[in-house]
Amino acid sequence: MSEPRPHLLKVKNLKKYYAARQGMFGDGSGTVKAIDGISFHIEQGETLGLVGESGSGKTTTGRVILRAVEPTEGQVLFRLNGGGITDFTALPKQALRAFRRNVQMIFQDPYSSLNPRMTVRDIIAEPLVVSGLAKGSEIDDRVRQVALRCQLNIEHLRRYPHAFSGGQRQRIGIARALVVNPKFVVCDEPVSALDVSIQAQILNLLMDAQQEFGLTYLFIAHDLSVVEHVSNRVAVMYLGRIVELAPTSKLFYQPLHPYTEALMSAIPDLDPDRMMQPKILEGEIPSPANPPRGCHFHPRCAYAQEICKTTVPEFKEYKPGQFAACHFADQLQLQGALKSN
Amino acid sequence: MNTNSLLEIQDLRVSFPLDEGTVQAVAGVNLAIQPGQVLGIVGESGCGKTVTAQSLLRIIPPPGRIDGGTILFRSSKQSGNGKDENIVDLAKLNPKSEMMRRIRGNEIAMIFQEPMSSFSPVHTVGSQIMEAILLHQDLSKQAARERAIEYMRLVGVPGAQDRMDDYPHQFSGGMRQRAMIAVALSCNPSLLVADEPTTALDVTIQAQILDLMRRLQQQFGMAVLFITHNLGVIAQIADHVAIMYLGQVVEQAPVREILRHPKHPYTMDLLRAVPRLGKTAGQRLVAIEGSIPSPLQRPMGCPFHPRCSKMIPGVCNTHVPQWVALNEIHSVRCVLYEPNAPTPNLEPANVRAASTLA
Amino acid sequence: MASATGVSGRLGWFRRAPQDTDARDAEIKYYTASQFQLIWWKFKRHRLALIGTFILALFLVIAVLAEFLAPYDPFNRNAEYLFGPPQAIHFFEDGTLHAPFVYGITFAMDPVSFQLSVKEDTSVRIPLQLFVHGDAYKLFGIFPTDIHLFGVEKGFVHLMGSDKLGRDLFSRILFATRISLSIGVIGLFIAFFLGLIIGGISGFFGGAIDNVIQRFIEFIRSIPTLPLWMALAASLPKEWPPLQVYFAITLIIGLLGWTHLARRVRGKLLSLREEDYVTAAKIAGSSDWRIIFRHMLPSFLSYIIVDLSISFPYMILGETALSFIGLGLRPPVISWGVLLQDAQNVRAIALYPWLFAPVAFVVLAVLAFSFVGDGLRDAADPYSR
Repeated sequence: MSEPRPHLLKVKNLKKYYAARQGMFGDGSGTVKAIDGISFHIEQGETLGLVGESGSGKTTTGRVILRAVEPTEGQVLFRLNGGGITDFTALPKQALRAFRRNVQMIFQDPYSSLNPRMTVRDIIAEPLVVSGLAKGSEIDDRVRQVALRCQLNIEHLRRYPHAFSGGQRQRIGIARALVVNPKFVVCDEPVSALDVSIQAQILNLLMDAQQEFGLTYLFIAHDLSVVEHVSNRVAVMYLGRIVELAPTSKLFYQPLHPYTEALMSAIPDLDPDRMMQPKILEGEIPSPANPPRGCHFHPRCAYAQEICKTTVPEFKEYKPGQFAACHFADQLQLQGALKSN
Repeated sequence: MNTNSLLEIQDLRVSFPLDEGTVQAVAGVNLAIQPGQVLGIVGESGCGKTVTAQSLLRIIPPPGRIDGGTILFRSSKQSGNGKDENIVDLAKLNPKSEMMRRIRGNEIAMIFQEPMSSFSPVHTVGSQIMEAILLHQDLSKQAARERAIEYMRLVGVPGAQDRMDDYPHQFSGGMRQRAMIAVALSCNPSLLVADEPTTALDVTIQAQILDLMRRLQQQFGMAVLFITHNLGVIAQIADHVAIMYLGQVVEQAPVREILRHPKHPYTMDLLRAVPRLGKTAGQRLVAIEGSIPSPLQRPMGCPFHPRCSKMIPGVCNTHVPQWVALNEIHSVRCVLYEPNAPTPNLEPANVRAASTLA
Repeated sequence: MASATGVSGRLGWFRRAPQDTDARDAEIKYYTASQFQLIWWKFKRHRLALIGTFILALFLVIAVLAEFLAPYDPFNRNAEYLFGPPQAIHFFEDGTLHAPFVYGITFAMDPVSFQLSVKEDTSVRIPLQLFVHGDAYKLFGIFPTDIHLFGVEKGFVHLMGSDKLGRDLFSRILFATRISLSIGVIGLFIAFFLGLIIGGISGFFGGAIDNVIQRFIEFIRSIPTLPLWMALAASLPKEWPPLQVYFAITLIIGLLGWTHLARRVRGKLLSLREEDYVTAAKIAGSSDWRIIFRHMLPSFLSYIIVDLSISFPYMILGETALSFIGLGLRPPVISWGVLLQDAQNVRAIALYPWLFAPVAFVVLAVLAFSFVGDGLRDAADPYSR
């Protein structure tokens, strides 16, 4: 981190609640707080990693930011190329559709994310066509150009997705996202459905594309090694809240939140002599429909005190650039996945 | 068969005759497991790791069939007059035979990636563990129930007594996996086959299950065949590792040996291709080019040659590499290590074929 | 499991040509094949479905060309041959091969029971002829002609016997095919239209509207079908002309068949809304209309076609049942059900079993549709993994 770069995206107190039916007759009503008030920013050209386990709300976060799902509350503000600020969450329908060319998404499942009934050419061209950025033969030129960049065989453009393997399908999905020259891309677990030997190709492609086109990524993943590999900063989510956000190097060496510590201790290391010593967390991740009071993590936390059961800890900056939501963040000495030596 | 192996697979071949051609899912696999050893099988999709495991229990889904090879298993069950040991070729047994049924579950147990599918949704978890116990042990119902609670405690289900009467859907993924391990252990098997048991789980739960399996493996002294695609998991749990690619074991060695001194180009490339904490951040990974071929179009010669960085034209694309033992513990299937490797056959046809495939 | 069944799921039903270049061409053909090509390739491999398709095609030809295919006008009475049994077609006489012919008929009175019995008169050979002149009709209702596919110049031919008025049953069945199938098609069209609109509204808007519609559908479905049909059909005024009754019955059958389709449409819409590629289209900035027509409709068209082919037999059976008990179509309109009215008593079963011939057509049509439906259902989602 040399000098702070301008912010491209600012998320303010974002919430997404779902009405949940409970009970046999759907009579007991409740709310699932999939995202419960999160705030962060992403700098121009950086990659913010977003990690969490199932039910943490990381996927919902990605979708709400792009308004694939409407937020319940909160704001998503964009500032493109240092220009004016756009309140993305407040854009009316027409303006929203026009703005969408700036923000794209890459999906986890390379099978369900491509319409099986469209040719690859049509799939990649779709954002271009609906945004009206190109017409006629320009469309084909641009599609060919971006397909080549994603190392697709342009002779295969008239084929249908069923002709392709998972890795190639993911390249098609990336080409679709990049075809409109977006500024910001949400990568929702882009490699977790792929084979190990294919993951590296896709990660390289994503990182090269970022360099080349000056993209900003929100990189959602559950694999911490992948997140560490691609991210400048990392946010850790637990049950709909961000519990820690810090530069990658800081987070992996000296986490501030006990959950981050537990998560890191569970990474299976490739070195058999560095046997993992997982901080065995008590119990399981609670249901987001019925989260614990106070700090959501307290029932499983080894350091929990009385206050954790009653009071929600404030998410604030403890060290430069390092944010955490823990009552004892400045007192605990926690272990990271990496040791400085 | 080696005097002390528990299981020895030799040149196992399994194929699936499909309408559009025959898929060689397992194309000559050699493996050996010693008693009490954890052998990890690592491979990507289509490498035949699951089918290999299924052939041990003879539960290959139709239309799959074993075409050849042997699966020698040292069956040793307490009988009336002490310990009774004999070697059975599982590949020759009828899948529905009395003998196979006895071995399945009694001596070889299996756990799966998705535990939900191996539990009946209409019976309580407790009753299903009890059923497994009653099948193998001569106990009263009450005693079986107590034994089941004991196993549930052993695998770390909190409040085992109360959770006996819960149904599988009331268990979380991790708890279900624990319950399935309890079922598998209930017969005290000499070999446990674990097919991607942690793949569907969250990292923290995966760590718990791995920890549990490591503990139980030592406690029960059973051998484990652990199948996964995750190299990190394998490093943490296995003693020995076999790397598979397109139906063949390409390399087998003790875990430290294989991770520190990989010999096969596929293993080497695979180890370089995974992001590693603190080592690769911000850098490009060394990716393996190309994609895994369709099993219907197995490349000629060495199946890895179209993607291999050390491919020798005229050799790798024509010659099927032999299984070479480098020393007692390390074997590899690559022409680079063959003592009598053929010289390149550089007829233009071969070279061209190689370059188009690459 | 992973490897082999994965492949069979993706490519399993695609037959690959053996040779190198052929294989490559076949591969490219497969990879560039559209949805309907894939469905057709998969469907082709379902033998029963192919047989069903063939039978349905035959029915279609019959429905369109009934006048030409039938040897007689369906109302033409043969006073010489009341309740006459089917005449067999012969090819051989005294061991020699002839063009197909039927024998003449003689009548004999049983001196004890006074029962009139019908016998073939082997001395009279009546050859069957193609394109004979017979009863006049208008082909497609336009071209006046009197040429029939086959018939006899002298005497008569009743391949499936005749009814109490001496009308040719075979000809009547062919005409009935037209009416019965058209009731099915129009009824289905009404059901489809209602199902698509109501199910579409329900699935697309969701929420309270969805709730009201779903409860309404449940209400309709909870009413036992046959009594409801009967009540509705019985409420039709007796003095309505046959044509009006025909449309009323079609409407009744169609009105009651839409609930199933509406549910399917809604369910499919709801599940499609969750597909990643629909989300992707939304994020790309596609309009709602584009999402519906470009992404959702094509993927659900195939399912709708399957549902239609599976619902069809119910329509035909409904009409047949109503007409059989006399509440549906009434003579002079001829449908399979109307024809079966003649076979309602024990006497008919004992003495004139050929009056049941329409049943064979009903069974054949229902089976054919079921087979085609099965084949389509298996082929409908060529992308299932």
